[in-house]
Amino acid sequence: MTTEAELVPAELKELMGKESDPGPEFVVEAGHVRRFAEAIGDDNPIYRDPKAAEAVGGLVAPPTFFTAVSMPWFPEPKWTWGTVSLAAGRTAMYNRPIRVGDVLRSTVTLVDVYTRPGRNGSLVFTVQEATVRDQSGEVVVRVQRAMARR
Amino acid sequence: MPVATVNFKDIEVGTEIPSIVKPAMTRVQIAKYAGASGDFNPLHVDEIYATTQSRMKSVIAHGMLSMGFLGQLLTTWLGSPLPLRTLDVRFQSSVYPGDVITLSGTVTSKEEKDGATLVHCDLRATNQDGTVVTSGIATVDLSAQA
Repeated sequence: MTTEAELVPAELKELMGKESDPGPEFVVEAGHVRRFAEAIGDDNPIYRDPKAAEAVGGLVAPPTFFTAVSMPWFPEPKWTWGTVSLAAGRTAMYNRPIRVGDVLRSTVTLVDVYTRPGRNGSLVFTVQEATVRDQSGEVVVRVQRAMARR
Repeated sequence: MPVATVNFKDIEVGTEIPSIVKPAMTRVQIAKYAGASGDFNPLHVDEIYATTQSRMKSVIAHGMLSMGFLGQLLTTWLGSPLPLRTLDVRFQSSVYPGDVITLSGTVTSKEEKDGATLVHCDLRATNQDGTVVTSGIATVDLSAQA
């Protein structure tokens, strides 16, 4: 039997609840938003055509564009467990959509680490939360990222 | 048109969000998404790494691409991302090149709270075998369109 204490690196436990320094400024550019929508295969013109976007107050980004924003995620710890780390889930809580022209900065907090039995042995989940703020300091979106190690 | 297409009073519990069937996943789309998102994890872009180091059958699409598909389902229904309050997804199964993903969703409840008119939905991204690859829930606020 492996115990949780053996699976979870001590460096992760020490990070719990600590907020990172803000990441670098990230300027939301029109071409980047357009390429992001194209990669998803979403041809809604509000992501690329300023005229069409007038109806929604100007060019906006698709709801998952936050993933392209520089965020100071804590790096993977030195695992003694498992061979692969996979994305387990993502939760976004929006105050407003990200818009072209936004200047964003994010901070990250490690909010949870836990283990669960899986099909082929234990899974170790780590959940980090990023808070994305705009140039006036208002929160645009909060994002929780869950990773599973197996 | 990008203007809102959905009205709170027209939505009932059980209302189906119009489904979208995506074109088959390709390595090119995965590469484009890697570039656009900045996620160059070799699981997504390096076939040799994915099949040897990580013992997958090939590269896999980013989970966030499936979440992007579910975002597209909602914003196509709603006209824009403006009403979206929460999007919460679990990546349940990998998406491989060749997979055909169908997006669907169902309204599970609606409520009026603090001036907001909230609609809660269940969301699913399903592959050609009927396996749910990504599941999720969303909350949208339709008060701006009321």
